[in-house]
Amino acid sequence: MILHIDADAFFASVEQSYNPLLRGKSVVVCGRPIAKGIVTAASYEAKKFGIKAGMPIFEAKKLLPGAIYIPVDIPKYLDFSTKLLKIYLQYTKILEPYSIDEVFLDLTGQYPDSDPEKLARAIKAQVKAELGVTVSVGIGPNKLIAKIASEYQKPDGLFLVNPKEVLTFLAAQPVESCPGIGPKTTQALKTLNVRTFADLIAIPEGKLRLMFGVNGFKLYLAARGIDDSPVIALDQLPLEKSMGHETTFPNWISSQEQIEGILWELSSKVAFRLRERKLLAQGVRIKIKAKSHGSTKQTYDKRFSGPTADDGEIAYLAVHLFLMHWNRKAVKGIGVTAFALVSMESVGEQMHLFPPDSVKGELIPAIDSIKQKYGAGIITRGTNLLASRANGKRGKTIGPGSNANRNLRLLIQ
Amino acid sequence: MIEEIGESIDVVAAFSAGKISPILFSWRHRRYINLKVISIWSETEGDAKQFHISVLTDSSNLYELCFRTRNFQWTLAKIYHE
Repeated sequence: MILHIDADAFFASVEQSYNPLLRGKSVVVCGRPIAKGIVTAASYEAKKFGIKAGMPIFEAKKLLPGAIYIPVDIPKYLDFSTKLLKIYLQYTKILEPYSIDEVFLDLTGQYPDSDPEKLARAIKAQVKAELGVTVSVGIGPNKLIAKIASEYQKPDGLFLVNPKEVLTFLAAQPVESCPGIGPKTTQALKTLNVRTFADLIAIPEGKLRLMFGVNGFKLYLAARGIDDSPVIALDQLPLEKSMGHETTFPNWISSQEQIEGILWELSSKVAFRLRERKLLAQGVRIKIKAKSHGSTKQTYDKRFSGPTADDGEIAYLAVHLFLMHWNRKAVKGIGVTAFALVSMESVGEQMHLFPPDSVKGELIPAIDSIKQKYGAGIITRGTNLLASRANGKRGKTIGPGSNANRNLRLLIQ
Repeated sequence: MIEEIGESIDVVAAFSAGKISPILFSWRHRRYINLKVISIWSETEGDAKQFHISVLTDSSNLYELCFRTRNFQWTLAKIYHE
């Protein structure tokens, strides 16, 4: 018996939970600066007026000028997420965070005499009583069904799908409700006149494989409600496959020097986190959000000759990739991701990250020690100062997924 | 409307049962008393913590106070005006 729990309008709900003066009002959480940002989350009061995540603020203000616009505050939401997890962990230790506000719980065999809906109601009631927010819960025989079920009756929803009811339940659901099916796949399926799971189940496996490769087989299974992926407990989570930081600039930037500075800053953050987790990267991927017939995101990647967690090596490759592919047009955002991660342990003792008698061998561990004590932003390279200027006084970079998992690991220790 | 302040303040607080409860604070030569703690959340700063404590006063404004364990400093982070 798998539960998927999804906090309703999470960022906005946290703001309303922490500030009673916001309750019952149209609250819109947005990126900085507010004037040029996009909607990150909207309270249900605001959603009634058509405000949606991803909408530019200027559009949202046309729809709802009287809403309360609040800048996003990720540390606040991470702290709240940890409080939610403490409640869920009271019910089971087999808990897998899916995002900052979604988790899967596996209650199979743990409450043989209990009605799953009754348990779900107890969780919902405890969250509401202790934290003042609502969550929607889906219950199903596997993660796929539980996740689709949690969306079914939002907000403050609860929906159970018994194993025998899976195909009936799925039949009317739109295909885009399936995790992993994004806008491109939805569009491609529409060319086959596939809009619901009932339409999808009629498509032969071979045709789906032809159109979507290995994902075609996943679609074939999803259409039948089949998903045997386990709920992975927090302390059993495998190594991250990638680790990245990205940022969106307050204004478009055309200066190569500034963009290189930002790439250095992002690379330093990635490298620090890799060393914290005792991981090495075998490759780097960059994401560029540039002006080209509107704004589009492009990604480029390359592998190193050997695994590394060195700021300089990651930054040099990131800058190299950027200069190779940059069309010289203004850039609105950029990201650096280290991928194909391996543990330092697995590489073996023969390899020293930095030769012990080198300048780096002394300097980098000392810098890391300062960052661990005082925070990652306390010390930076000279090249990164250009990044600070380009990003503005309050320029921030994000990598919330990893921060969430780090907080969660601390929670269970 | 949210106003971001970021100024140092003086605070009298109770530390009891593992919680911090501001009792009064002083900002720009004015004293704010009869504080009601609404919410507390924290974030890490290296190996130290920052506690964010939202309080209501006699007025209808909500004040977000911030306490840094590294240097025991209090700041007035934000004010939410009705």
